[in-house]
Amino acid sequence: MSQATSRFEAIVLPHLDAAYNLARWLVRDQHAAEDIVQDACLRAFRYFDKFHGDDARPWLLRIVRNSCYSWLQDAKRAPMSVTFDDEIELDESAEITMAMGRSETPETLLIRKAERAEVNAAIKALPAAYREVIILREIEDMPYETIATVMQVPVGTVMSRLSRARGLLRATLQCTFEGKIRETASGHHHAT
Amino acid sequence: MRPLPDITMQPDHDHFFSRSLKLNMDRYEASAQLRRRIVASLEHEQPDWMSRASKFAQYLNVQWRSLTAAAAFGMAATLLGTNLLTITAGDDILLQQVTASHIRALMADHLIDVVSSDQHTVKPWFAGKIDYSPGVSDYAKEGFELAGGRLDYVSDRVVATLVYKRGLHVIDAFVWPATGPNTSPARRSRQGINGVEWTGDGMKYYLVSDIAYADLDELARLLRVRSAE
Repeated sequence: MSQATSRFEAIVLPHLDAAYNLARWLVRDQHAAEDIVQDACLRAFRYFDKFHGDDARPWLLRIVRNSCYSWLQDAKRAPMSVTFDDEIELDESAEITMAMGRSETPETLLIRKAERAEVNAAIKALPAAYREVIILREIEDMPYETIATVMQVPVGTVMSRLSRARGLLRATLQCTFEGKIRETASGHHHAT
Repeated sequence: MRPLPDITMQPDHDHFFSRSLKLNMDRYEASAQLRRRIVASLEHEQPDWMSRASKFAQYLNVQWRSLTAAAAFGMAATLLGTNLLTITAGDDILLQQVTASHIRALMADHLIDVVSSDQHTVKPWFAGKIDYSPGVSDYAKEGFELAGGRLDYVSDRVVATLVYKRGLHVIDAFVWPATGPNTSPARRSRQGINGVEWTGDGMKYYLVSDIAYADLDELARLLRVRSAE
């Protein structure tokens, strides 16, 4: 094994799980995610000499997310595949109003009542740019500045996307569990 | 953009929601198999600067071999010229020329003059520059993606080079008119670079790459099927 290979394995490969997790959430397909991550790692390796930092994670994730977006673009072009229109082109100003209307129910209660699968389904249903910011923030615990580096957008955009993503999630989960809450009639004001 | 109601004003304060998400979200992990796949593929890969350096070393080596040959022939005078390649005989000259072109193209990042995977773009591009018309086909379905074409100087003439990509490897397919009899593909090797050459239908074909012979044979088969059509 060459010196470059062992350095790469020591510095970059510890972030393989983070890379795979991001790809898996973004393209929502196990095999595509694996191919993308392998390809991205090879590309990262080839340009390893251009990496001068102390944290390889954002650097690797940036390569991975760009590959994911290319894949989503290609999937969009390819016939016989799902339309990814809403995945890539984000309308920054719309769709949030409905998410904000009724935040009276405490989210914690919602989440407690939520089945794990339903939370994951709600995230999976988000547009890619919102999904991405949720993954980086909530799973990877990245600071806004780092997320901005990965996504190549200003920090302000990261913040607004994050609150919109959360708003959408709240709304989705609220819709899902409103029925249940009503059933339990737990003295909550949603109960009639 | 229309300002949104106070949600942007409370960037990260809903800790509960955040924490609940964290607790509930799946975190996918890379399988051991994927990890192995990646580590294995790294072994075949070199970082950009290293592969450039080693290609340059190979290139120097080619030149050095030419020099040694020149000395052996007692033709010290050729040391002054740059045309060292012509002093060896027959097939060797060609092999030397095409491998040198291949390496030089990789080294100088001058792989492709016309970048296109569309044969209908590449073919006409050649039309204005050389006095013959090489068959241009894309074999992406078979794993040989047409990446484009360029001009080279081989065998004392300007020739068409079709550039194919197979995975990360580059295959140069040199094509020029030939008068000799048809020959079957024959394997050549020089400095770790593999070649497969044949003559068919008045054209000389020379495939050059660092990939395995089996892959070159396959591309040769495809090109021959096409030219026989």
